[in-house]
Amino acid sequence: MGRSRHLDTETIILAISAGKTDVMEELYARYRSDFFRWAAKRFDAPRQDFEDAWQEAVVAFYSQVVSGRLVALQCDMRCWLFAVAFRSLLNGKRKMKRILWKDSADLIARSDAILIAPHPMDVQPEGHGAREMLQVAMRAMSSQCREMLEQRYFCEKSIGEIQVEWQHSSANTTSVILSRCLKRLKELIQTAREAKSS
Amino acid sequence: MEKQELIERYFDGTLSTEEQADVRRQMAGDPAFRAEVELHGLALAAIRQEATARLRARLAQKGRELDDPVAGETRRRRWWPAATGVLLVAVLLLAWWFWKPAAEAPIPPPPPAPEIQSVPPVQTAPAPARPAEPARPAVADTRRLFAGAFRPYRDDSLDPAVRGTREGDTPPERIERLYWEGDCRALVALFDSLDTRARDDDDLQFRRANCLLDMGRSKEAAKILESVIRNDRSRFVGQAYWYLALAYLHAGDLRETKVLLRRISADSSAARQPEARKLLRAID
Repeated sequence: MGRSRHLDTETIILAISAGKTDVMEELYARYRSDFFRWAAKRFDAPRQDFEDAWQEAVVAFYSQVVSGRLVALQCDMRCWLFAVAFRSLLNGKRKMKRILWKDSADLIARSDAILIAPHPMDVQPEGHGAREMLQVAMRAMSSQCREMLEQRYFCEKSIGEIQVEWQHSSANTTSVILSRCLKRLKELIQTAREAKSS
Repeated sequence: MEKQELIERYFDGTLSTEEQADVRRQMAGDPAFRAEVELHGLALAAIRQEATARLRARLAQKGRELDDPVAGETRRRRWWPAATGVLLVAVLLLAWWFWKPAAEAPIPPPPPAPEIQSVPPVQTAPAPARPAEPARPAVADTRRLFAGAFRPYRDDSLDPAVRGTREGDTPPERIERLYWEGDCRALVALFDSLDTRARDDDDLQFRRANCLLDMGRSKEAAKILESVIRNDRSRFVGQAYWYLALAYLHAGDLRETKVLLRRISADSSAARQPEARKLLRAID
């Protein structure tokens, strides 16, 4: 119905904050081809690199909003997303052939303005196979646990919101289930770490 | 404040400056506490990594749809040049039929009605011999092909043995165990008693669809798999295309089966690409 074309930045931020993730596809699709054209003027790179960078920018936008680190944009959304994707291309593909071309998104991407405030406590899995180990542990969880944990610690929903969504009788029930799921995940990670080090 | 709460709030960034300093002091002096904090950080990283991967998979799927629209718009655009050509040829043929008698007559008479009627109507003209269509597989053949291709989906992550046991008594957990044990009849029966929230779980619905397929109830399975694909919430969405193709095959809908198999075959990142190609060859 063309709904996405008329969603403004504020509405998108509010929708994401309210847990409506379906706007992500709309946001992703809105400027994607525009970004590919824009990036192709700056980098001599395969289309897949642009795709990866664009996905990264959209996911970064989502993460920033749900964590409350982004409540309003100082530039327009297109510009913000382009700048983040541009930085991703610069960081990931240093050997990529670059073509000089400048506009507002370039200037923001090159400036010291903080586009993405990293979570101060974010842990980056290090070492060979660390990411795979975490993935295996996560996928060994039941789908219920996995989804609830993602709602709590990725979508940053409150216990009350999760309780309503899962129709639990009380917030305490939700809290107990979440604790058990998290404990189980830690056990799985710990077991995998021990197996890896032995 | 309990230790776990303290750790959670440390990662939330909601501790006061003094409390943060206290946590750091404890980490420096207590290796066990430090290990707990690290483990909590890794668990959060695992959750965010998986959630990000799922979100990116959703976006990638959207990207594939944008790059390769299955909708008729593309087909329409491809169809226009051919249609224009056919129309042009038809107009030329008609013009030739009208002008030919007039050119042959010594005095151009008004075209008599019978002559006009004698123009062979396009519809009644004998149709050129069409190449013989490949014989459509009979129902028995589609069922044979289905039986050769269908195996209920399994991977190691579905094994309930590696799961926690504390949530094992919930109906969703029972569904997962029944699926792993291959007890499809019990699973389908239990599914009807689930609450709305659990029935909305597309990972469980995917298992249910597999069971229905196993029981030969392909039309019900197809509806569920279509919904799983449409919702795009399940981690089995990639697999769902393959099983939907098999559901169509079992139901004897060869056209839809081939459309899906061609789509899977053309996508190098699609799950079950080799199987789809093989089955497509077998059908053709």
